[in-house]
Amino acid sequence: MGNVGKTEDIFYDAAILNEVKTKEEVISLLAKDLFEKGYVNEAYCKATLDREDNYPTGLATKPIGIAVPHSNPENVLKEAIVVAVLPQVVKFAEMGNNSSQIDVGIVFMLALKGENNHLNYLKNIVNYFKQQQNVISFHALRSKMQMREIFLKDILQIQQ
Amino acid sequence: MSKKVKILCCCGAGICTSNYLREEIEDRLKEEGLSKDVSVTLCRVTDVEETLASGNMDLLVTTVEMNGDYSVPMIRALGVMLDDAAAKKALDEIMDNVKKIMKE
Repeated sequence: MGNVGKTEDIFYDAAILNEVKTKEEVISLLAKDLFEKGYVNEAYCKATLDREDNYPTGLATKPIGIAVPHSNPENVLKEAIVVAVLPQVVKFAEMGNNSSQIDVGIVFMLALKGENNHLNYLKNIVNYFKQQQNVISFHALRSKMQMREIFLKDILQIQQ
Repeated sequence: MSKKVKILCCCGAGICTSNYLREEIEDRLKEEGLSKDVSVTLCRVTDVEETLASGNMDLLVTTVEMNGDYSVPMIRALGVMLDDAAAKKALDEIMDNVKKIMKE
């Protein structure tokens, strides 16, 4: 597991997105929320959408995939991570393989500046979801508070 | 005295999957006692050509699709993030290349 150190400067949020049908909707909704809260600039949403088209972030975890959309650090004002559960899966393209589509049920939007290089969020997220049982139980969550708690305690392993 | 090897890790934004890769590569280098002989730099995919040239890099490791023709060997290492077998295969390939470059 990656070593996670200081976290007080990062904003963590959770969302449950019912009735979304495309990855564009997912990214736009999460980005809009971060923009309204002042964590990213106006360009962030489009930059993340474009980036997802060029360098997709879907990962084929089992039994359903996860995605980690993000974009260039210059669009991030203050670092934030939002985790979202999609009760109805949505198609994302697979990382490293633009022509392969994955059904994604859990999304981590990583609005990071790349300054905390010692915090390897991605590694913690990927390692956690290598366990099928973790994918199944996280996807079944319907409480934002629980999602946030599991994200911090079990995925990032931050002592609170 | 063998040559110090410079690896360039790249991904779409230059902060996420490349950072993951770097950590995995550094762990493996440590296991093999090669940490002091290799450096790992991150960059985003749009800056690859420039960084390869200005940084005098020896090896390019990437998590994204890239079609360019580069001056150094390129390894696609997305497997590092997938299952353990794919991770081992990708890291083995990186290590083989590193050792080969050291001997040059």
